[in-house]
Amino acid sequence: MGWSPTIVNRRRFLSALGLGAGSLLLPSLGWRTAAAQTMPARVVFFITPHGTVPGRWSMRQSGRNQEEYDFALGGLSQGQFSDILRPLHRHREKLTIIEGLSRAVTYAEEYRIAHGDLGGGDANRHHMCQAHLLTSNWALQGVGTARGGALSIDQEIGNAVGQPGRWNSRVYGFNHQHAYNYVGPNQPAPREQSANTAFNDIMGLAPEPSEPGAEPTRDDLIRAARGSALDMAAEEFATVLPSLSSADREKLERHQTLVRDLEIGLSMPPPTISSGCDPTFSSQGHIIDQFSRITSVALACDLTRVVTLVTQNLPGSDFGAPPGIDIHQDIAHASDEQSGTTTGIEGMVNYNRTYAEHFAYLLDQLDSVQEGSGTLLDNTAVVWLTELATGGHDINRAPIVIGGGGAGYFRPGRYVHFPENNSIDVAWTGSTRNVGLPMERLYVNLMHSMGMTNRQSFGLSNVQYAGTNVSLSGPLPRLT
Amino acid sequence: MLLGCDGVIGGAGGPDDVFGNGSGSDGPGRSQEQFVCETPGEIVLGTAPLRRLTNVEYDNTVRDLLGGTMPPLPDQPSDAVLEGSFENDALSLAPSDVRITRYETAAFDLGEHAVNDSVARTRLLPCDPNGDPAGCAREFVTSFGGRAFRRPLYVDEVDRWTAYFEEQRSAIDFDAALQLTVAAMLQSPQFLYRMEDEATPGQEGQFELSQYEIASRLSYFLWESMPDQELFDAAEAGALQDAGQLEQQARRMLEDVRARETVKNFARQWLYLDRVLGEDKIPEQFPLWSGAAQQSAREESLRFIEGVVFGGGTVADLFTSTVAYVDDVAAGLYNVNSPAEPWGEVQLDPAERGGILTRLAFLAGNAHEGNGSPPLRGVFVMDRILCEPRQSPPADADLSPPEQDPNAGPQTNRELFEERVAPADCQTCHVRIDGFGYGFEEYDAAGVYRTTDNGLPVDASGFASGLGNDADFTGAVELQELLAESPTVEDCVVRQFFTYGYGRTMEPADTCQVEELQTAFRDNDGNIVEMLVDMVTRPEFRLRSGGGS
Repeated sequence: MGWSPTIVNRRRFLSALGLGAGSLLLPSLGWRTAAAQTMPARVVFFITPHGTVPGRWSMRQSGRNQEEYDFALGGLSQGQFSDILRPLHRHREKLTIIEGLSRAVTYAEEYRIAHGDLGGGDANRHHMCQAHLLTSNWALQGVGTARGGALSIDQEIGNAVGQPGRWNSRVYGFNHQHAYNYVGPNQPAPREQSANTAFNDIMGLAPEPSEPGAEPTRDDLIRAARGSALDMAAEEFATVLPSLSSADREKLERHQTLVRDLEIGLSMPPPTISSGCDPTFSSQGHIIDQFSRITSVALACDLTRVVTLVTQNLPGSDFGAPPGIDIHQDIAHASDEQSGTTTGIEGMVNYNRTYAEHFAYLLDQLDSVQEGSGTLLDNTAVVWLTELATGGHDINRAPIVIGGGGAGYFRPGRYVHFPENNSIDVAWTGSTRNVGLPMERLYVNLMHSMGMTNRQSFGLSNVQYAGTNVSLSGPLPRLT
Repeated sequence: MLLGCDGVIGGAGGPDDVFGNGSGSDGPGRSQEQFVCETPGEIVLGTAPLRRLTNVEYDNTVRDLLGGTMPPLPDQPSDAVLEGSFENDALSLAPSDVRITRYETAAFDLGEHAVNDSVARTRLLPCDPNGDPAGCAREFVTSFGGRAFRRPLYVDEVDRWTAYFEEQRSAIDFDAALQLTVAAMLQSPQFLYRMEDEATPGQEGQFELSQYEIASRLSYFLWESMPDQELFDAAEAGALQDAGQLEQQARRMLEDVRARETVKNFARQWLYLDRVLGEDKIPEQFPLWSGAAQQSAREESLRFIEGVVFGGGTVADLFTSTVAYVDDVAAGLYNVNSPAEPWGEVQLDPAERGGILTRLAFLAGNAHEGNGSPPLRGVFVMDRILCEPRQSPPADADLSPPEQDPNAGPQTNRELFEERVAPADCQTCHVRIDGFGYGFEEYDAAGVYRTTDNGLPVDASGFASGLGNDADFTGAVELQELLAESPTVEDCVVRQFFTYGYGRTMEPADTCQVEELQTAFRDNDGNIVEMLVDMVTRPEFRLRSGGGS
């Protein structure tokens, strides 16, 4: 479908938005004035597979592992950045690097499975962490394997801040095994893995008129009537809804709403466009970078405010691994700093550093778009999350980096360290272990940054291990 | 931190999982005891959640509805939820913004196709618009609408759609109205979902499906597409009332290529045949394995299953037949002469190969890039072939392929795996898993037959348990002879087909029906076509439960 040229010009884009080239100059367009005053907050989730090599990722200060503290990144030289995070050095004033958070929901579900509360279940940490990462909720067990059991945070935020006729949220990229983003239990959010299609989507479906001022052609008229076909279809939903069971009705009502949204989207101009909205796209370079550019266009043109970029699992050739090596088995699983192999550890460092390079590229894109007195990056929270904490399946000390300021919510340019001083029961060994604060609370911060300030938790509000209650509520300290 | 292998296992099954509670978001599962038929002979119905057309069904349906040279359609978001499910599970077939946008694009393009493709236009337009355009509009709406919605339109629907058509005709022209009406109908719920809202209340809260609803159940069950004209005619004539009439239709439909495609699509998902598409092997070790081998291996298994099922075959044949349909690549891996024509029939060496579990797609698809994986292959047998609850390794199990210690003497792949799972904790599960898995040691990571491994003789002895006819065996040919005779395997095959046919996981209410199907299946010596006929001729096929999902 769509067009084959990889570069789409600006006029075509504006036409696609239903704006003649001339209409941009009209002073009466209120949305333009409004755009100059307040820029919306956006959030991007950047998810990479496996986990990091903690000793080569961390930049914490020696002797302070038991303290909660933060320090400024601005004065650090490139050499003072860790091996893995070094590519982010140029963005240091706009980063919040967070160390020491734990994956509390995964610990809690493991505990439930190990103690028979679920009558069994899939405890594979890849599966569980993929199911938990963005849902912050129990996995859906009993469907063959653990899958997301509830709406994920990107969908929650997208539904809250979405605008009619625009995408509430977008998911780009690749599954690592299972999905991260869910619209409901066991219902993965649609994910686009073709960059061209992703770009076509954000361009919308609006009619492409002939030259401005010309009489509409027959094709123009037919395209303009597409909305009427949607209207007709949406009306049909009303005729079938009464006969359905409640679960089926809910599904079809959602379908009907989406049809209506699309109908609206065909006919309305975007509510805001920043001056940095430059809708060109080139399908060149690494696929992760292609999606980063599309993400930048989508946010700059305010076609969505929430994007998840699930990165491709890098082939060995991307980070200098020996040909034929099994990245999962021979690198990730062999990357423990005490017991791993040199190939595994150095491979995993290179693997993560390569993702850091792509992450830095994404920040470059957003930082190049001027918005008001700052940049698009300043108005966005770009959150780098990993599937697991380490290549060896640990889920403590999750490596997290936030790029950007979240429209003034975050106070970037800092390294934030949380200690591992909460003792919990570890499911399998029957012993206890000290872990950090729940990373799930970060989603409260993110909701607040997006204007959802009345929210105190997302997903589960607390979990328990052996009677120990761990709260997942309230924003994390030190981030604002 | 590597933890033991015990503990976690059990409770969560595949799509066929009797323990799983597929219809809810929280239930951790049911105990097996609940799955006992307590009312033999009675008609008990499970839920009937509304089913959206899968991507495959959508493509098939628009092809059969419109005809002509189909235009390329936009890719839909994948239905393939995740490993372990069938793509047609109603629970997962939810709408999304991307999907709705793609439907719009596809419908608009298909509307254009209806106007401009002469074959499609002739099929769709029963009249000449130049004579009486208004009359022709109504005629078109009645005929096309009836096929698109898979039942005759009601009068108010004809009025409504004709009014829409006429509105567009007066605003633009007849052809534009044709295009837009087709586009709108293809986005309507009556097209995109398999509505069963004409069913009438029958006994005990059960609903009797209308004749047209039965026609659609038949066509989507056997063809994954809309009814053909003969089915529509039978529905119109009220000739889909009893088992005999449905059997007659089913046998006719099973002769059609669409039934073959449906069985292949099912088998692709049941046996994880897509797995092999992602399998790269170390080139130096496996010179015969290439990118083309992935496709060839998958295609060979699909053709094998098609050949067995539609050649009057039984479950036993699936596990014992030495017939293969191969291209040059597959022939090379099987070490047989290429057939005269690509995908011609050949006989494999019965000492080396038999049924589906000695084929490339399974062997190479459940292997690492350098060695076969006894655990993966064993779990596959238990999960897919025996319908046992799917097992996952413990959280921190070491899943990497074991490697030869360069300072030690040579070891076989089996010896390396035996060392890996030697701890007592691991043995809890692996004694059974690998009892199957080691039986495949005569095949390397690419599925090539071997008698030595790393210079040492291969040991492919194993023990098959949970079959009902448990026994020691040596090699996969012997293992499959056991599977071919196993009542557990026969029961599992019925459950897999049932799950697929009804688009949802099995529920307690299905127990009686499934048990009767299993009994009939055994009585038919495991003939798969006969089982399909049995499923559609049962009374449950013509009923649905009242509550929906």
